[in-house]
Amino acid sequence: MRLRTLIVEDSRLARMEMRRLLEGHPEVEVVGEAGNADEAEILIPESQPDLLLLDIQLPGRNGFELLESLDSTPLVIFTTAYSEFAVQAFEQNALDYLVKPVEADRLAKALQKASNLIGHQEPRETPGEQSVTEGRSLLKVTDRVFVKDGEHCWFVPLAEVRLLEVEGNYTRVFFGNHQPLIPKTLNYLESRLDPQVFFRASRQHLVNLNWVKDVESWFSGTLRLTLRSGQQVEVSRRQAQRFRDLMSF
Amino acid sequence: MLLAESLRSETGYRMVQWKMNNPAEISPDGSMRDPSHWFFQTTFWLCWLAIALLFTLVYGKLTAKDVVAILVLGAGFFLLSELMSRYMTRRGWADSFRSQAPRTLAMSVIGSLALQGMVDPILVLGFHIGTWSEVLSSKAIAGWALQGTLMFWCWGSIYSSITLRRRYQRSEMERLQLEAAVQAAELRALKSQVNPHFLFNCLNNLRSLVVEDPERARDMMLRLSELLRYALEVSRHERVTLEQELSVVEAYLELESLQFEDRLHWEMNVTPEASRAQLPPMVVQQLVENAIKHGISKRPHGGEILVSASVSGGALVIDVENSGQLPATPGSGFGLENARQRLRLLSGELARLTLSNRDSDRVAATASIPLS
Repeated sequence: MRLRTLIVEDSRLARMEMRRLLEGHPEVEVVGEAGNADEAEILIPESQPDLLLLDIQLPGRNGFELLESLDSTPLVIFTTAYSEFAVQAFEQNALDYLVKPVEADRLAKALQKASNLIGHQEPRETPGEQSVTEGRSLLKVTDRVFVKDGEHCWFVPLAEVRLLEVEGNYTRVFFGNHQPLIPKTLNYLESRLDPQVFFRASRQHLVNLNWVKDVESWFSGTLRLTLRSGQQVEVSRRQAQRFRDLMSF
Repeated sequence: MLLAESLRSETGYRMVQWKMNNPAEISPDGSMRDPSHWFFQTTFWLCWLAIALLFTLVYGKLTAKDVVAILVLGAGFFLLSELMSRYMTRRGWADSFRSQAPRTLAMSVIGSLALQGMVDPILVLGFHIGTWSEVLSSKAIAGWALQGTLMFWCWGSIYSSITLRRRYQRSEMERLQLEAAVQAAELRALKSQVNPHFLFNCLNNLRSLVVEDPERARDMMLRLSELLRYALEVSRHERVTLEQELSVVEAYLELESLQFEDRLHWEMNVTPEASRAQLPPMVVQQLVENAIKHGISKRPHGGEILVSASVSGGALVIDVENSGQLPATPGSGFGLENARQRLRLLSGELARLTLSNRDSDRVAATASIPLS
């Protein structure tokens, strides 16, 4: 299993050091290096890495801000010179984090975790086969989005997101017991998500159809969806017809 | 540099020193003005009472008059010993074992005479026990003086040795606590002087440089040693020359160049007079570190730092300029007030520190330290 890896780190010497450490791992293919968030933001969609080795402290936008700006994130191993609370808050759901200077054993363990996760995923499609909308590939349910709410951060697989709700220029994401905001509009997210999975129920809501448990007729041609979480979402009259079409094909 | 942290450790240090200069604070008189004092007093004199009653019973007939006499005597002992303990506490007799015995003896003699002067009139006039001629006979006075002195001396010796022991234990405990506090303060001071982010990044870069350019790596290790030694040792000195300080600042900037490479440029511009001037250590170092932390490191393309120093109007004026802009909302994590207070603590009330945008792309921190 190849692990296509991008190093994001502002110090050239530190990048060299990481490359040197990765030489001991033939399964890792370093597909690029970025010295700051702006460079990384361009490189990530281009090189489609499986894994980011990401320094949190970056000039300009930091590592978290970079992740927030991405539609979906590769697996992420954080690197930091000094473990601070921000990383500890993360420990729960980040793939792993490494303190610099990095010990070879710790790196090996982190890479092993990454390999295991990649192994469980369906093989990456070659670019030619991807479903393409307006030149950019749509997000799959196995893709992860990075969500930050105050001091809490999550990498959420889209399959676990059951509902997205408009909140001004932000969108509230419902998953598990959490419902944090992300700094993207619902319209933008709709354009990036697979319409076979995420259905625009109304101006307010985008529903993950895999989470729908029950459908009932509601007032004047609208529908009411009940999700497996118990949440109920109304489908507008205009969208109700589309919903029926979608369900009956 | 974590300014708030260093200020906190500064005051922590001062508190520790203040405590050291005030022995009263760490070693109170050590007297037993607490429950154990009363426990000792009660136990000791009840024992005396029991033994006196037993003796009278064994060597004669215990009459009601004897019981009254013993009770009155016991009360006298108790009252006077109480006065003595207060006196001993006030005079700080718990200082050492030496000179303890003669002083206690003298006090006991006086105590026993006072006891007779107090108890005899009560017994003769109050309870009609004995007559004046009996109690005032030289034999009776001498006999009672001897007994009383022995009793008080016995009591005084035990009391003061217990007090001394307790005091010793307490001061030992406080000495240990103080040592721990000093160590913690020193550690905090060290931690605040060496930014861990900088230190670990530096070590990581050195690890890489060793492969790329071993000679330069060796040189950089020397620079790091110089910086750490300065942070660890010189901070205990009151003053350094600006020249000494700037040589360490230069070492620091060279080490940061491993991280930033061509994103960091610097220049120093110091008049000969200024380089001989004295100032508290780490002042310029802190300003430069902040210029990196809040200026250079925030900029994807880096920037430059210009350190200039001159003497003007009886003060050393140090100016650290860096690329960048102050945030529109002031007071966001700059710790300027803390830095100001720290500078005042170290260099006196007349020290000044200002931070402002010099132009649309430059921030300047200016410290003014009066020359003594």
